[in-house]
Amino acid sequence: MLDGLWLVLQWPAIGYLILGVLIGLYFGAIPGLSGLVGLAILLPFTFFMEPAPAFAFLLGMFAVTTTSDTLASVLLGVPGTAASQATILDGYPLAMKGEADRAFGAAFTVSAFGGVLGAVALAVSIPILKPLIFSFAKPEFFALGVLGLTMIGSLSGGNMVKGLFAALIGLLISMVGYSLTGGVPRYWLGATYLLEGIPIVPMVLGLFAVPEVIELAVRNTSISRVPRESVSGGMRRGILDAFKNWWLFLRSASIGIYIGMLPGLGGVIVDWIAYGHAVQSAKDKSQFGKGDIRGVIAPETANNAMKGGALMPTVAFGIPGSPAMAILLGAFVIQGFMPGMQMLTTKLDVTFSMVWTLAIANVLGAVLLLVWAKQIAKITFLPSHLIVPAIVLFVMMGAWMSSNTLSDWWSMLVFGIIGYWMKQGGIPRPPLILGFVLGPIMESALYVTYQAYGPISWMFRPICLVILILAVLTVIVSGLRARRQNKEGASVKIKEIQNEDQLAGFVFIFIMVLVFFLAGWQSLGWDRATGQFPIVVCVPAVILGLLALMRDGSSLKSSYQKTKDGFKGLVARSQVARELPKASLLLLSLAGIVGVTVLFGQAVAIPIFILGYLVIRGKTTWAFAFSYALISGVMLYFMFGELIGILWYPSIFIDYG
Amino acid sequence: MYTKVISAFAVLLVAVFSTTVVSSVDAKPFYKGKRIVFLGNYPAGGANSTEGRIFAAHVARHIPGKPKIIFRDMGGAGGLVATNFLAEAARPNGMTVGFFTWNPVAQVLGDPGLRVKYPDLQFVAAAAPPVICYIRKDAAPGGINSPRDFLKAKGFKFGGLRTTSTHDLKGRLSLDLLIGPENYKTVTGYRGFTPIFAAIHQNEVQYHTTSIPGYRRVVEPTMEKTGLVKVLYQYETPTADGRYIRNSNLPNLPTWLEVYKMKYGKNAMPSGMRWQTLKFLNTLNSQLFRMVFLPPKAPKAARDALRKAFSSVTKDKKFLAAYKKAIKAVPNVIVGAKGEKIINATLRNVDPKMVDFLKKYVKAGGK
Repeated sequence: MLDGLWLVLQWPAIGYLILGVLIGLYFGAIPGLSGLVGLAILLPFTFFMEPAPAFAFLLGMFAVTTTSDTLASVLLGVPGTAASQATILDGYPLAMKGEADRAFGAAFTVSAFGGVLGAVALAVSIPILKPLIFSFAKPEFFALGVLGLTMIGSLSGGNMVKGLFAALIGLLISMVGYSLTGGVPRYWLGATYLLEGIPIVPMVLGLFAVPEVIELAVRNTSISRVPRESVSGGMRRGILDAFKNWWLFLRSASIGIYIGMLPGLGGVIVDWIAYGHAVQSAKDKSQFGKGDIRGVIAPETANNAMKGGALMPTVAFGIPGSPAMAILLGAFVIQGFMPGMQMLTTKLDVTFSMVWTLAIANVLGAVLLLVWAKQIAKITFLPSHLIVPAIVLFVMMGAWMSSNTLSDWWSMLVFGIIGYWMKQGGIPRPPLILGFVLGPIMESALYVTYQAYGPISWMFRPICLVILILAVLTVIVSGLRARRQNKEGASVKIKEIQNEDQLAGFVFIFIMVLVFFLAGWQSLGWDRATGQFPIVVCVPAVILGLLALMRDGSSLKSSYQKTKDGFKGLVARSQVARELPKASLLLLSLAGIVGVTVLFGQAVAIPIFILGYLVIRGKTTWAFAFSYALISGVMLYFMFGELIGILWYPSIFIDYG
Repeated sequence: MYTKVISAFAVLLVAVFSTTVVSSVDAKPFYKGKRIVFLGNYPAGGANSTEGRIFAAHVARHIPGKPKIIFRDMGGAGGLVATNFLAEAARPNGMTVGFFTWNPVAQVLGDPGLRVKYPDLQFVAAAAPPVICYIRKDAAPGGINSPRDFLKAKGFKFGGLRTTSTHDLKGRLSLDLLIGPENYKTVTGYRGFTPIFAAIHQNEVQYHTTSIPGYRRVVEPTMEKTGLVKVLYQYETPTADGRYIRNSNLPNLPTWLEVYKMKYGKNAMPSGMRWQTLKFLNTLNSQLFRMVFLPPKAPKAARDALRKAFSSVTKDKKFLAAYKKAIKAVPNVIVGAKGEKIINATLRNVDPKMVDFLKKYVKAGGK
């Protein structure tokens, strides 16, 4: 163990670790970038390094991306990485209350300790790794997916019907592309881009970031809805919150470590499961979704602890726990290491050097962010016309990183419209993401389970049985609690669906019911393996959708009957209808970026948007707007072009080489 | 007279000027001062990405002009997104080079996702790691300690990706011919080789095939050396003169055909549509697996420069050492016309009977 520590502390390994941490903080903070992208870019630099510095560099970078991703999640309501989606639910409301630095204080503290705990878990689990990892086969994965879906109750804020409906939308979207049998592409609309499914990054950025950008642009306010002077306590309060909630911290860390360890499940769901658990286990749930600090502590602990967990099957069996670990495995191979017994015996010092790297990097990253966060948090008090252009730059380029094609942008814009509509219509978006992520895992697990174990016997595998019973109990308890709260009049809504526009929600659900009907109808023409899962999803979706329409319909009807100006009045009171002109203008501007990119490339299109936005919407001077646009263009070119080396769009008039 | 002198002088000038221009063109290498993007068609972290990056790190030294090479991954649609991008969207200026694990079955089956024909892309080079087949030793009563033991195995499960993948098709065809379709079951739907490796550990499936990087990286250290699995055979490499030989990286491992002959007699040869199809897929896969392509209209100068570089890098000691360190094998690289010949011979005129058979075989897959 100490040999491992010495490997990390000596030069140049410690230097590369620090450099890796700095790069990792950058990659985590920019939406669309991530540890995965960072590893892919840094990997070639390690080809000619010795093992200890190479792993210190890679893991140092990787360890901290889920610490700095909190910045975008809290400040902008945009997931910094896929692992910080759940943090938005309470992190962003905290920023709107002027308490961004409190959120940072709590998040960075638990990230540091969570990451260290993950590293410790890796170290102590080495002797028991094999039975631990391999007792979870496909039936257990499916059961975990079912358990994950039971979190829907927690994420639906009192409206379980709409929450489940949103989750089923996510499951349907996850089926776009080649089916598991490979022969039949489903719902691909003739677009090759959709054949492998909808990429998650543009979708998440569209669902969460675009509606926030629209809101900021339309309402023209700062992120914080309260003046700076009215807020106090800040970061210190957040750090104390982290220590006060130590029990939640330990439970969330365990969720992160043990789910991160399961190969193929990946880190994308740990934050949701941790968040859902935090809500379900809390006595007072009234503030979740409105800025409850526990809604930040739980996912941020889990997504850092997960790193140590994901390293376990990678090191021990060469089976990556996540896509990022697949790249790390590539680094192993390039360094001439073989995962397995070698890493647990003759190269144990290298394994422990990785453990120490995780621990040191997490602490270092958190300390650096705690030092800078106070200043960064001041962004929440800036006027929106100064922030929106920068957000658009990072969101557009973040989406571009997915596959470097215009389809990523179109995907983001389409989901932006859907996300905006859902938000206004009171339909929670988090269950959609959870359904989308769990869909392929569950379908693949169920399909393989049926073939390998038969239709029934798999349910009686011991671990599977325990998880399924837990899932059933969770649903029953959630249902009873919701019923009791409704009776007591204490039903609470997460901020997601507080100010719902009933008309917009009704229309959205109506359209989606039609979509489900058509999707289910189409699946009847497919073979059993291809069409089974769509039917399982579409039938209950239509039923739930009709139920939601009946409820919302009767509520709309009574509003209509109470008003004197009939349907016109309903439309006039609809927030979406009122905001539509300005929202449409912004969306058209974003679509305009796509058009200009075709002609001149992103390095010209995005600065032009920024220039136009500042002058027209922000009413700034031309000189200021031009300077902002120029700096943005230069940053865009160097950060994404030279540093990350993206593929620019091959525009008609400018060749970027 | 003056006319003749002037004409002669003009001819002389043209000759001198042409020579100067030609020599200056010749003198400046095509890729001098340029940046090449090697485009991988699978997501970062996989075998295609790993191998591509090793090539990219070393081949630049062998390209006249010593350009900079960066490697980018563009996964999607089983590798087809990047393939279509190379053919349709990338500028045909020689600066974008595809490093693909290709999917010729997609072309044969008329996959709607593939919008280009592989023979239309400009072929530069190909590398083909051998593929090994292995099984859990406890997959049969009494244990499997040799290929002969395997020939008696029944009721085991073969882990697959999807019914249209070359991996699944070759696996099924070879097992059908060797032991009969009634003696094994295909469990398909795994999302990559990683879950299949895990499934082997968990005894969820017992039989699998993988290329040498996967074997060296995972199977050998965590399964073979621990006594969990027995490596049975490799897919043979067909030669131009009609023989089927062992890959030079695995000289001690019998080929599938050798094991077939163990069962059916040393003069026996497989026959029928299954064998024709397996031969077809093997011919494509055993020599052409990782492919280096340029867009259809890329300049010949680019193609020629890259072909020379790939030919030369295979003798580069640093490259060979790095490849050996990572892949524990010597790369088998085919460059230029030789590879083009194979692609044209196999893919330009595929037997319609084989296409028909493949479509039905794919449809029946996984049962």
